[in-house]
Amino acid sequence: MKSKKWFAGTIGAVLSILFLIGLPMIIIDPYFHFHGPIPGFSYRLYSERYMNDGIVRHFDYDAIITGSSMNQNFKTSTMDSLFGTNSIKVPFSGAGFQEISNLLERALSTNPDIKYVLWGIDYNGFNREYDWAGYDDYPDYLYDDNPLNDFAYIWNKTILYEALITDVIYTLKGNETTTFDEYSSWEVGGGWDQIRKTYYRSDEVLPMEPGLSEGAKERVQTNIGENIVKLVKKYPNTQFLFFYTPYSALYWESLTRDGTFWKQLEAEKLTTEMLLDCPNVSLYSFAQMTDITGNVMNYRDKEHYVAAINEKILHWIADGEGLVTKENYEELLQWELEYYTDYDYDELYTTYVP
Amino acid sequence: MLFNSGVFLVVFLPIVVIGYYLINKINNRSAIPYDLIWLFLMSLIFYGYEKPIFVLLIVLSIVWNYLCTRMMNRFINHKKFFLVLGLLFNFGLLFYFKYFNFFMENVYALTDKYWAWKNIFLPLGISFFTFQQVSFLVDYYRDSTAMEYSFWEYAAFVSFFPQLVAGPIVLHQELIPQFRDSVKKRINYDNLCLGMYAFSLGLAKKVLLADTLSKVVAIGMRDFLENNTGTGLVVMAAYTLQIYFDFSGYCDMAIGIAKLFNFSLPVNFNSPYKAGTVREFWKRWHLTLTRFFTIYVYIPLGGSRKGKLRTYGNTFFIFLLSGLWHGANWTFICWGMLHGLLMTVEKMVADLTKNRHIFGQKIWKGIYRVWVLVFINVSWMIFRSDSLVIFRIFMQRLANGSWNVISQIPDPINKKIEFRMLARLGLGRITEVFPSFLLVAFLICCWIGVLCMKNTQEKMESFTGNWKTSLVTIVLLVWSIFSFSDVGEFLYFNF
Repeated sequence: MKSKKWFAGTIGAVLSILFLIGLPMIIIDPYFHFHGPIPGFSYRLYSERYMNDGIVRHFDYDAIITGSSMNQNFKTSTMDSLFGTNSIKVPFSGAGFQEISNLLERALSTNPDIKYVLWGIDYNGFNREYDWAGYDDYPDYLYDDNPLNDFAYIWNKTILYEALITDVIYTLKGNETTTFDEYSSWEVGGGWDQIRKTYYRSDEVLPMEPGLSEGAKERVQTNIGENIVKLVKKYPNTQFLFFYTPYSALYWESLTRDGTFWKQLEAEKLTTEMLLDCPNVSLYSFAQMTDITGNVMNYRDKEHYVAAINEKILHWIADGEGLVTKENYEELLQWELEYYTDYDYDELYTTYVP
Repeated sequence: MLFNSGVFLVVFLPIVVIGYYLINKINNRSAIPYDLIWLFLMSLIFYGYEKPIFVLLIVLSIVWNYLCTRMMNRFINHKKFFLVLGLLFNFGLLFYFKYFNFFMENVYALTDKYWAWKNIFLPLGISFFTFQQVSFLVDYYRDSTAMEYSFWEYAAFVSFFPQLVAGPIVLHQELIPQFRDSVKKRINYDNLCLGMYAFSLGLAKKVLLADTLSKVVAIGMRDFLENNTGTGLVVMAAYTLQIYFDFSGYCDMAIGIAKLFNFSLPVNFNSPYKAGTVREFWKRWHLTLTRFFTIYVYIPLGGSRKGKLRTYGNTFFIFLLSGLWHGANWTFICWGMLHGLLMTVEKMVADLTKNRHIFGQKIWKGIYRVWVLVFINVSWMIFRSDSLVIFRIFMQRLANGSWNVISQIPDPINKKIEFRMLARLGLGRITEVFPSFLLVAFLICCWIGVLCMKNTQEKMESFTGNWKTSLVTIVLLVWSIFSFSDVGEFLYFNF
């Protein structure tokens, strides 16, 4: 074979394959990177870190539910019926505040008319560094506007197999696009059978550490300021509905045992003060719902509550229950300090079978 | 910019190659070397794609070194002064960017006094382009008559993007005469085919093999406290393969890309794991580095001309330097010293036995070959460990006698999309019973490949443009391109 023919044939074949696979990837666009869903095609919504950016930029909506796994079980249908919205749900498993903030910035800059953002703020996230992230190999090429790195998306064997081909089969089988009620949700029963898989009660009780150092206070302020307050102030026409994720009493116990309880309360105080300074914020705390937090059946581990609690949270917020204000937040903190210091944690273990 | 990225392969490379030949076609009689200016500017874009600020560094380095040689030429009686000035600049730059953090950590450890210093980010390929320019300065100092290069020739040589960030360490006399060859300025389809073929082999080594193995190794090194004999052996075998596929894959790609411009780069790897002795290993592994140390350190120190003891000392010393060149960590220094020590011992034994007994007999050869392979595997683990303590723990865990590979180790293989497709055909049942089945099979295939198959250089030599080589190139290129998105960075960028 003559070398010119070999070269032309080989490069021609490579380019043809790239074109033939790249084109349907762009047309169908399973992660909505270039456009929204095409009519008549059914998409599986299943991969948060690959799809959320496309969803917020290309879907039609006026409210967002986001946050970590604590928000995965929300139902947009409930949100819509209570708040009269057309909402989407875009949570991230194991999310850091920065990741959520970046996503919201992408959403709000594309669609500034968003009425509500509902964000369940992880109660254990205040003291983290502002850029804390619990993941590797982030698909950055989906989160920027640089077309030169989109090759990583259109020529990607995993996306080709898991998204494009699977979605085509999914559509041909007559399935419908995943609803936001279903997207990311998980249904696991609560109780000790679940909790004991990951929970370990430390025998050791460490002495209680004093409050936050100046450096630690600064860290909380940077974390909340950079990731939340900045965003909230930039979009004054959007109402931000924040709530502190209601962890179980087992979580509070772990704070009292590892000596960080006072620090946590101080971080909560700082966060609360910063959030309440923003006029377009409504902040909710459900720590006083002790019938929820004190019942292990509501939890699959010491933090994650079951899906039924997400439903309750939406109703509480709609009814204004648990609203934290400048007038009541100190009282709430004092109550948390006293209540969870004096709590009879042993009672939680009465049904525990090792 | 990475070779293994869509932007390089689909945008950058075609533009540079087409631009190069177009310029040569339009301006083939011009006194200004537009083709080299084009290569230089495009190489700077390649270098600064992720961090544009480092373009200033390489430009400064090129200009400074070139000025030093101009000064040597002008002030012939003060040649030594300008040589020292050039060397001080090069080693100063290298020390600051590569070794300052390490130096300060050790000062802190020794004196217990802490000076706050800013952590310095290591620029890509600084060790490579520094050494390349050191060799030029020294050669110019020794004999400048044959080296009157224009600035654009020099700049295009140092920055030539295929070899810029991870070698091979090309010498000026290898590349600049090729820049001047008018025959090489015209499209040559034989070279385009050969270049594309070599590139596809290198890309596949890097993307399909090295990056898959790297995930296995990363888990093993992250969870090193939980390792055992089985896991340790798997991780060690995987890392030895990973570093070879990674580095030699990069060099194959560099050689292939250079061929697209009709340029030949020196061979850097020649099936190193087929070596029968450590000495032979270094004649097969990273040849251009060994060559550099031999020409510019070993021979000036006296080489083997000043008695046996001095020879042993010189050998040990260049390996100590080689360790330090690879990275600013005691692990690299120990790795270098260990190789130096074994090289020295091999030389001593060869001297004592006059090459007859130990290495002469077949049985000894076979036994020694196995020992060399074991030694190389273990020494790579020093290289891979973040600290000597981690290496010690790794080796202790390796000796604990438990052979069950820990459960997360096979995950990167079992979860690979290719194997998940195979699982649908029934292979999934095997991995349910033996989770490490695919991993072990993959490692065995890779080892057979490196020990028994032809290397890229040999394949290039026997290359014929037929439908088989075309198919291999198409499959490897397409498969690799579709595997880009979950690939890591090249290991040798930081050396």
